[in-house]
Amino acid sequence: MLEKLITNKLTTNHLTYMSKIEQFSYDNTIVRKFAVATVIFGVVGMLVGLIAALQLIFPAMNMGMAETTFGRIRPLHTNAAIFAFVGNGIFAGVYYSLQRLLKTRMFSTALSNIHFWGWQTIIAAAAITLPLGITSAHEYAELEWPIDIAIALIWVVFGINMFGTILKRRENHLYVAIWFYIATWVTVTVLHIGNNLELPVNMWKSYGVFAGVQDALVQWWYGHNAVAFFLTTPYLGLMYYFIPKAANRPVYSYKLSIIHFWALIFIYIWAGPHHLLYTSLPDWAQSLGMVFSLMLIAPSWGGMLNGLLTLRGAWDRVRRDPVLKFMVVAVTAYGMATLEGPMLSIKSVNAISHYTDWTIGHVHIGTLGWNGFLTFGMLYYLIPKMYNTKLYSTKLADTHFWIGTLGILFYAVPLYWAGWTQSLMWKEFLPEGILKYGNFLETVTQILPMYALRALGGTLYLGSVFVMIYNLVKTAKQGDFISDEAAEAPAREVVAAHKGEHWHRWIERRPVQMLVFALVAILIGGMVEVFPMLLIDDNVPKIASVKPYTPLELEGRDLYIREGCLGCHSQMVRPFRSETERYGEYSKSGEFIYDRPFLWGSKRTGPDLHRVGGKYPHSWHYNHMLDPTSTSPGSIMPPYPWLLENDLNVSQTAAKIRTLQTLGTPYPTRYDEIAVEDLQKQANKIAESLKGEGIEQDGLEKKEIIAIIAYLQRLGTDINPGPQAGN
Amino acid sequence: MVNYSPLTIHPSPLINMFKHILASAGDINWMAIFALLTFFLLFVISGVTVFFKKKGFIDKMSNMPLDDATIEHKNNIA
Repeated sequence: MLEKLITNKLTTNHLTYMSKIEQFSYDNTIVRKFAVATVIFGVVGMLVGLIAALQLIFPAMNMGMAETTFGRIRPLHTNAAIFAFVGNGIFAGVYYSLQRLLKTRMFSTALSNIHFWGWQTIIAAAAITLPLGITSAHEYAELEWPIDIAIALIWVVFGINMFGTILKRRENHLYVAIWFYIATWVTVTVLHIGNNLELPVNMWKSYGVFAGVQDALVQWWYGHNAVAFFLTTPYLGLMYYFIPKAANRPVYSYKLSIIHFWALIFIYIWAGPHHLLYTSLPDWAQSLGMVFSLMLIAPSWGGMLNGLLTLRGAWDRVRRDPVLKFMVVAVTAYGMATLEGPMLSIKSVNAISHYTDWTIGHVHIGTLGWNGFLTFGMLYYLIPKMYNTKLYSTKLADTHFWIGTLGILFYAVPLYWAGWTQSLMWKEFLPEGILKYGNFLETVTQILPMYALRALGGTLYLGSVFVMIYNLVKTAKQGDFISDEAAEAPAREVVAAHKGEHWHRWIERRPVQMLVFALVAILIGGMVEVFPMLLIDDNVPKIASVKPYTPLELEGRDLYIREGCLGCHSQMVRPFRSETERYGEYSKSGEFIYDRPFLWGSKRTGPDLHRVGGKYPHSWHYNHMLDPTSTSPGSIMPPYPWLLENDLNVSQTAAKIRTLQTLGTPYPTRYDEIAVEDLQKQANKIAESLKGEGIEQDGLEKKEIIAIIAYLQRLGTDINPGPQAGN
Repeated sequence: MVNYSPLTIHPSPLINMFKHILASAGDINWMAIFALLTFFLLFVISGVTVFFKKKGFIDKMSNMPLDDATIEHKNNIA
């Protein structure tokens, strides 16, 4: 071993044969902690996802509680899957590979532990606040500002620990996996700060600095890059480490990995606007997002092929080795998802796919296939290694593999089918020129069997994870855990740059320069896309008749956010005839200038609500919230009886008005002093009107339902379009 | 009820600050050109440098995950 090391060094830089061999150890304890956490939170996240999936078939599965209703547990599921399951998986893999690639122990065991316990505390805070309806309504960034600050602090702790480790390394050059870790760290830092610029109203409520279309662009610049730089780049780093490790052969092309890295991080950051095609976002930004999304195929497939071709000549081992089996399917799923993503970003395809279950199917190929299977492959590699033993049962691992793969297929295929079916039903016209399925509900009940199959897929996948847990626990029990794995390597010779050296080789030795270069690469896209939206007034045309929300409507809007209504209802009528016929005038960017946050949504399990204002009487909304099936037989929307029971909390109304004034909403000076009075006047009017429509309830004017009705009745009514051409 | 002043949008102080900085920088179309040039340069330079890298160096880098410097007699895998 020692001889091999010295020979390697001699043949590469001719300098280190005189170096002193140092003995040290790798910290496996922190890797095990994160590995256990990823398994536990994987089960929790998937279980919540399964409950949410079942609620779409059986709405009563919320057990009549607000905290367990779909709108609140959907963000719990996404946050648990992304930040708890995948997040802990990333840290387990990074802490294992970083030490070995740099031939040094982690910089600080204390920082490793602060990172671990801090991250788990944040997850616990999310698990408490999200079911309570404490949310900023930004998808995948729902957590409120105190938790955002905690995330930033713990992320910095991780950064210090990572860079500290890099600085005390014994290996001069940084392997490509570490570039991916560095790019992940710096980009997530930028994204997290950029998308969470908000002004607190109180401890658990804030309003964002950006509003409407600007907020939408910043959110999806973040949202898409959460996929890119949390679910993808760190996992690519893990792929570049663990596939060669498991296959016991070097990566197919190191040259390709360099191009893959720079191309991917530069292009990915531009792709966010593809989440906003045909919305009120200016056309130039949509086109930019689409073009860069299409370009993403090249680096993504370069990476996928590099991963798969690493196994050239070792395919026979894929049949036998569960680690490789999981990793092959993971990389294949990455390839499929990164082909599908750009396809979905083509505007004409997106016109069909957006707001449907196709998108949900697509993201689950990524999370279940790419992230999930790579994590499982990594765990099957790590646990036997760290416990100095062999895997307890290859057969059980194979069982996990096949049930899990079937689970992915049963999950995704029905959702693709559902997405196509529903979208085509939304768009189908009769020869007379009217919508064939004018009632939105028809297009929902049609796809319920697909939802049932999806839940079956989720059950299979989750069930297979329990097989893995049993197998890994038995593996751990039969081995002895090596908490500090002994290692030895020569001390690092710091080599000065020499004439004629390639710039890239120079960067590879210098982590700080690597960080700066990666930062520049990702900032360019953000700046060119986001800055013009924030700075050029023409991008957000103003509409004179659009006014800020009244205090009651504002409170209603915040209840809409609390209940997670945007998980199922969009507020964005796209400029298609099928949508203007169904919902009314298409949405204009000028209508959203007071929307903090924007609530355009990204999925229509229920109909769009942007033009729902004035469409139904107040009593319809009252009855609908009490029992959705009373107004819409067959509806899968859960009842919201607590809105009729809870008194509206107006203690923060004045503070909300003041915060919005600070952010630029033109309420009159000292309006906060009379805001609650105004709120009561409007509430009394609505309660009177309800009474006139036959709704009798004591103290009705003080209930939350009044605020929700006020908000819904205001939606989309600020503009008063004339008759449409051709109508 | 409220009387709103028509069309008086007051952007947040943060946006005002950005606006001020960029207004003083003049036309911001240079950003798009800059992005295009950087994009082009990034690919050309990384492609060219990768092409000319020495085989020995590439081999050493690609073998890095395989050598984790553990002392096998102390960490004997059963």
